[in-house]
Amino acid sequence: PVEGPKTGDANCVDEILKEMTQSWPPPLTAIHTPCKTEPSKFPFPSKDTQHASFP
Amino acid sequence: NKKMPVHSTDLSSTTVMPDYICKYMAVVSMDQRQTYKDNFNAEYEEYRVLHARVEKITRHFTQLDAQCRRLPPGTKEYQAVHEEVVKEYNKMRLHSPNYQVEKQRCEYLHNKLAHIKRLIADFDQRSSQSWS
Repeated sequence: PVEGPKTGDANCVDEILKEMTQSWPPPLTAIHTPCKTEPSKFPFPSKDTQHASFP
Repeated sequence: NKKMPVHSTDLSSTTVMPDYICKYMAVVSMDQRQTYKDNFNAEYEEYRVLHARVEKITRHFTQLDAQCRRLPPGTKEYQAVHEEVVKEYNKMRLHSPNYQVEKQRCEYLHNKLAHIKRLIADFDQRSSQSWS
């Protein structure tokens, strides 16, 4: 039911390629971050990404 | 010469604000965050399936496009690739008659889920700032 380029004429290939090669973004990733643990009531160091960047 | 916009896929020209903009405002509580995340997850699978399908078809035609560009016009090979494009296109329309509708749905979901994800990320960032 979709209107598309009429196949058969010389320009149809260009039209098809134009339609079918439109840039497509990479997929969104899922929401990973579980929420950060509650406020720093806990004295243990949290293993979050901030620490990972330290050498 | 433009065709009748019966199956318009040009989302950029639409001025109507998407429904999710009003539905999903800034996150202010943990409960709300969880609700948003649940809503995100509820549609994420559908999104991934549609995205992968469109990606596969797009990649295939992009490869054919690259082949066309490499070959000198007028050659047999060039003609063969052109015929391949038409053949693949007809095949695609036969197997995925709703391709354009699915693609549009996927674009909508992409924007909607990105919006929800951004609100959650903003909330997380504000929370981490206020806790430190």
